[in-house]
Amino acid sequence: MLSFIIRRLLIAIPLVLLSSVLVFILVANSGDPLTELRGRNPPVPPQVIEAREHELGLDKPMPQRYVSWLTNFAQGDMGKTIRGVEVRPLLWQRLKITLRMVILASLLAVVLAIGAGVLSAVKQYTPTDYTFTFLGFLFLSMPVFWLAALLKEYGAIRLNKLFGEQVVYTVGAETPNLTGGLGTRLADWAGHLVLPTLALALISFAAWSRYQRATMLDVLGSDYIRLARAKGLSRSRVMVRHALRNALIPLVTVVAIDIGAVFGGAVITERVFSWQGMGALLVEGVTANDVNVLLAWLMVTSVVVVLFNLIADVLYAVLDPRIRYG
Amino acid sequence: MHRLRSARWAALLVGLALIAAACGGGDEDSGGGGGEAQIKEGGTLSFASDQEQAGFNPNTAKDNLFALSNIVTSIYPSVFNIHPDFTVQLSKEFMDSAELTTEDPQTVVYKIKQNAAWSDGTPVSADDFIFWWENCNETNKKADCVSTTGYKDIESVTGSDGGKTVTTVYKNKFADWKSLFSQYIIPAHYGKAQPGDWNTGFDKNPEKIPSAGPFIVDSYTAGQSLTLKRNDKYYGTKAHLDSIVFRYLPESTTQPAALQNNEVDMIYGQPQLDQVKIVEAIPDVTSQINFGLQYEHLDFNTKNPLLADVAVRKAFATGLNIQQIVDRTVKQFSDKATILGNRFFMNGQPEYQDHRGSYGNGDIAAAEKLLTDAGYAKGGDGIFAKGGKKLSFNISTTQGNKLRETQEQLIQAQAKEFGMEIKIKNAEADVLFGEWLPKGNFDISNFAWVGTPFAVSSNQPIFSTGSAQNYGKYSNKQVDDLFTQAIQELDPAKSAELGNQADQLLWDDMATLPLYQKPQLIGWRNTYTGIGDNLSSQGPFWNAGLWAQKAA
Repeated sequence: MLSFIIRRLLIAIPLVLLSSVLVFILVANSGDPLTELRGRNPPVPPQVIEAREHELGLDKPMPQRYVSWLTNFAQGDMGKTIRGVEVRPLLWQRLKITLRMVILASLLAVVLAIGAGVLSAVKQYTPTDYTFTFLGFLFLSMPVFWLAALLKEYGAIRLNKLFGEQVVYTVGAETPNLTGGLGTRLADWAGHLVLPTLALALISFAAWSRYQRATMLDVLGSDYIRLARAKGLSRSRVMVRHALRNALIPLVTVVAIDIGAVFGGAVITERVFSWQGMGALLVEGVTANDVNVLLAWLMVTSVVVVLFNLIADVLYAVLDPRIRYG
Repeated sequence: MHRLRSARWAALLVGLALIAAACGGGDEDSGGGGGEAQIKEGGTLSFASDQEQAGFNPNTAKDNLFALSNIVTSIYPSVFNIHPDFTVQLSKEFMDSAELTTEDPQTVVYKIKQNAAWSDGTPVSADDFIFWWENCNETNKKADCVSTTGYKDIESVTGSDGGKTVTTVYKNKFADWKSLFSQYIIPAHYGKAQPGDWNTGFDKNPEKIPSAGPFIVDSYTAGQSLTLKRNDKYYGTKAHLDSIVFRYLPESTTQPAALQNNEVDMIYGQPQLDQVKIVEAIPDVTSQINFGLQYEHLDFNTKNPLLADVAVRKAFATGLNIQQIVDRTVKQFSDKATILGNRFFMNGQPEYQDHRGSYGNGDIAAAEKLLTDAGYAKGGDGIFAKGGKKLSFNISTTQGNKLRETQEQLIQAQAKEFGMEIKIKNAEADVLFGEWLPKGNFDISNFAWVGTPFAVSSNQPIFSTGSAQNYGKYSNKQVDDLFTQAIQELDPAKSAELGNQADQLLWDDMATLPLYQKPQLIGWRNTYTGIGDNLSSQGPFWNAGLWAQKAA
């Protein structure tokens, strides 16, 4: 197992490096990051623009710029944004915000998806199954921004009016300058988390519940379940110990891979709820043609994705002994 | 809203594909709209800012953002403030006087209030003026200065009277001297003590930067918010509010809901029709649409052989129905939207003169006559031509800007009626402003210019022969001379008159065609008083020290 993990990690390194080269070439060729500066009125003095070009390394050949970036990156220096802000603290700050939303949303989505998927499968072609199927497809086809608008109107503005106080928030990750104890802080965090978490969770729930239903149906139709029933095992024991445990294996791997991907940020969800997370950082980087921001984003998300894929593989092996001994 | 260029999308896609692959200064008056309500001291106002500042030296190109101006207008002093009526007035809490004492050589003497001091106790003095001048007079080649206009014309800046009198002597006359040392004077003693000095010395720890205004930075959480608190050591009138919170909400469409849900108390920005309707429907919120110093216009590329013919430009401007364009675009937001008849001075400025004449009235017969008289003949397809060349032009604007795209479609339809063919060819903002306009790769372009009350110095780079920002390559020696005279004319009234003469010539030559002033949306909760718009570069926070909560 250890050699398998090391081998996978070694393969990941050139993959991440290659992607950084590709992104560097594409971003560096896609336009001039100093366009806004050049177009100002009154005009910015030419020596200022030259100094900025020098600072950002735009006056150097592209291979030299890339090597210089890579050398610095290896030493923990992710460079500065085109407006001179250090990228590393910016990235960690954004990552923390994204994690707050993503972890909770993923947990919620997993619990709901397993529940709904199992119930749908066990009660196949009943009103319960049809209801979950309808909900699954509804959320699967609903754009996040639209769902967000509905949630803001009915889940925040009207709800708060009903309560007569601020309970649910529509923007940001927390209230600035909040005073009070841990309880107040937690309540504030929760109030800000409700809507984006729900929006994100419902979308993930939709896909994962369909997946869980399909694998559960697959397992329920298998010979060993029939055998377990024939042996006279109780229905709950058959369902939980034999069917659900096996039906969870594929979902665990899917969820691990999906969560890894979500570290890159839920671009639209962050945008519509004004969360300054990884997704927002990516959009800012692309819009401003900010090479250092994009490369740092890419490196971090690549590493996380590779790591979670590895976790998925390991989990698969742990859950299914056949893989280990195969 | 900018759209992303294809290559950037490709970069984005590579990132996503990898994931997929892995998966598989308040001073004189309020100027606000709050009236004479009884006020209550204290309280906090939360503002939705769609931008986050980079650093805190507004005089560097790096930090010069409108978002920063909103913050530092309450921290750093200005010799002159631009009031909502676009008049330039001495900041009476900060200055005793600022006067032109000698015309030749031009000498301006500033007298700073004896009690004017930074919050750390250091007096505001000539050192602060010298710090600015030394970094913006083009002698320090490494200094990042947003504009050297005017500063490079100063020969010397000296302090006397313990630094409270500042004397500036000019080597070249500069009419808009009131634009200098305003918005905003930064503390020299603090900047010089920081690593990075002028360029980056104001980048970090804003809560340590001393203030000489009614507020001071209390805290800053990157990506989330910045809080100003009352500066209790302010030498002028103390602020009424305890604090102002700037919340960074980059997606402007989220702001109306945040206002409705009491998460912010004030919003500001370019209006979108659906947002305006939401804000207007919020019961306890006052909203206004105002028209400021930014104006939409059409630029003609005079290097295009057909557009080089003044008759063609005049015919185009004569046949165009600007009122229809206004009605179908900005008038949707406000009945106050009108056609603009001047490039240098906007409606509302005392110097404004309407030079539009008969242009923009949709007079098709007159437009066709101008073309016929110039030797053009209408072809079978209804398009005028001369020497085998059809009057067919591309119109370009910033892709994704719905308002401008609507304008282009209207212009296209109107131009067909007076025998010109218009093809729409748009680009992303960075391509349009970074490549097409500077390189002259356009025929007609629709974009906005941002004006200032200092009309002469801000317009000279746009209309002077050979200037980089003169995208249409318009050239008229008379206009160049008028600019030279106006910029050296130290009597503001005479300088404005020369500016108006230059504008009249620009109309006569149909160098560019102004359309209308751009609207701005401001909305605030009715529990506050003193708030109102200031559509100059100083922005709505110019008098935040006077904002207050209404007494119950």
